[in-house]
Amino acid sequence: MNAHLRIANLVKRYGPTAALDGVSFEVEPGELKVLLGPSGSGKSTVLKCVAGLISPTSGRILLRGQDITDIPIHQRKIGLVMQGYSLFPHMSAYDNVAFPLRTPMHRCGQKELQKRVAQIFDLTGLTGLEGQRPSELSGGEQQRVALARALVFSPEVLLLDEPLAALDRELRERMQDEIRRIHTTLGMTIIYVTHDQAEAMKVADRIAILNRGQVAQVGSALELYESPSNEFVARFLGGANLLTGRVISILDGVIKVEVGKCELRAPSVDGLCQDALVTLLVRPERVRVAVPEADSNCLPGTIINSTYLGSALQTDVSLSDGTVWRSSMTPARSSFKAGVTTNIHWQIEDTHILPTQQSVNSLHLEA
Amino acid sequence: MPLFGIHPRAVHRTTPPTKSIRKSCGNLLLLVPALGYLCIFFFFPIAFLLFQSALAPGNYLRVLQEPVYLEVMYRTAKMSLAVTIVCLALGYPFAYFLTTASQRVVNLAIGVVMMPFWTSILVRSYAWLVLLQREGIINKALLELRLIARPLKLVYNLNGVICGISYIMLPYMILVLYASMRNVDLQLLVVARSLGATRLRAFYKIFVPLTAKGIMEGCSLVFILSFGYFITPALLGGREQTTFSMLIDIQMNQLLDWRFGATLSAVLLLVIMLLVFGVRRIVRLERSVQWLQ
Repeated sequence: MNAHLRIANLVKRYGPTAALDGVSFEVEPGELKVLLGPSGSGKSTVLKCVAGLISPTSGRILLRGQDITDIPIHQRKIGLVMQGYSLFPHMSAYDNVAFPLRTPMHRCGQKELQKRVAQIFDLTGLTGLEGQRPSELSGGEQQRVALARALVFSPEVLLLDEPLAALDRELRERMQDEIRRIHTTLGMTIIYVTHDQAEAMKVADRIAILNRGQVAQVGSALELYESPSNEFVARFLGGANLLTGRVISILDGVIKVEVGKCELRAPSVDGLCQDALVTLLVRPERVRVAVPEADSNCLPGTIINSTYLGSALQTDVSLSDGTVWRSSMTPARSSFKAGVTTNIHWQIEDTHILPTQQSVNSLHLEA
Repeated sequence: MPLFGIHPRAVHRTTPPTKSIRKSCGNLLLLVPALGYLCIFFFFPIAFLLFQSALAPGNYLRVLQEPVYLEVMYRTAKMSLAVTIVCLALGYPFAYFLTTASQRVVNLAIGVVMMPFWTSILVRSYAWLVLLQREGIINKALLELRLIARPLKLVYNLNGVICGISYIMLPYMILVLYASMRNVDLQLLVVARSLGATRLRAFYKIFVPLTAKGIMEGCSLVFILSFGYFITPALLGGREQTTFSMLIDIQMNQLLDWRFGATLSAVLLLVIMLLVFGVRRIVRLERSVQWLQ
């Protein structure tokens, strides 16, 4: 096992409710792993277990193969940045950052301390702010101090809990780049918790999506977006157009799916058989309205509305069974008129098959 | 974005001030009863006292020349300091416990802390007498257990006074400390521990400095109140524990020398004020020194 950090079957119960219900994943050395999920999905709970703030009901946390589940928090060598930064208000930025190096756990000589603090100030772009109190720093600067303080003692792993939630959008984007840069410079293993999927896709090497205390899927942003393994992941990451149908044939890597009275084609995946129920996923960027293409899937519908968004033309189309599909195309000169009957098209290879969802009824589309 | 060069909020700002001034004038009226009360029953008597003492300025010289007054002043200060230290030592852990406890426990504990306020100070001081005297419960118990051969002298001395006053001052200390501790973000302690600090280190490096203001306020309050205290030292102290306020009482009630009593009162007032401002000054100085570093 060369995983830097391994979370094995972590369970945390509060009374009868399980905040974590068997979470397992691994973080490679030098990887920036994002834990992404809606609020209440348990992502912060995982982080708190790893940091040692709470102890899990069951399950193990392994750091370089060593079980750290029962090691007290101050001996874990894990850097932690909390949502509110939690800077010590009575200390200057310098003393905040030097704090870990003055504890018996990470103590070092005065010269070494000065050198390391200066290095980390340089790395995080804080030079010149040494004497300032947290209350005299801007939000972004406070964020950097918190980051510097968590990095200065060279922790094994850095944990970031919604680190940018308190910043405005522009600053948030700058800090995302900054965190990526620091991550690459130091080669630090990082676990980054966020509920913002755009942020997750921007900073992550790999993303673990959590839902109701379980890992829904782990993968790179590309894998998760292009081939989600279930409906939750599909819907959580960006827009998702979904249809359920029955497999009628599998031939030459292409399957035909009967949805109502229409026949749609998709690249085949393993483990499918005739008559199986499947859910088809098409991302809005792949759907074109009224632009016929050779050898593509096609469905009739009525335009509900069409909005010009500058970078995209967003069109909602109602299919014959009432399902609304969204298309997000490169804008033309004009938008579509509502109420117009049209066809929507997309490439066969842009159709992704999700595993069977028994709860979803087969739909009845009329050709 | 501002429209037509006027910030939308600025428009609002031009109209309401008159309203808010009128409103705050109305609110000021609410102060009148309390201020009036203070004027008649506090500021006026104090002014009268100061005036009385000013009529015989030679009295001030007397205070300095007769060693008994400075001696008693010094002893009173020592006793007040001891009481303050005892209250801080007992109150700080208690108040810290309150910050970590659940709301229900806090309500209960605050109730227990406030309970002594429901009984008169006189009764409470006599209760200490019952505990501490020669044939009191404590001595009896220790004798029974054969831990001591002869009864300990626990009362009519400094010990009795410190027990009695600390007990009365403790709630003030706890309430002031708890109020300041409640403002401390306990997450800071968790973060400190994640950075390598032990529980103890996080406590004295983070928690204690952040409650320094509360400590100063609690100590000042207890010290000042103890300094002017009268009943308890009179009941539980011996001859050695004569406090400055007892000297004032002797002048006014027994020797009927009101002017000299007034002088002593003025001196007590002055000393307390100097002490309080001096301590505040030191604390502020310390902070600004930290700042420079």
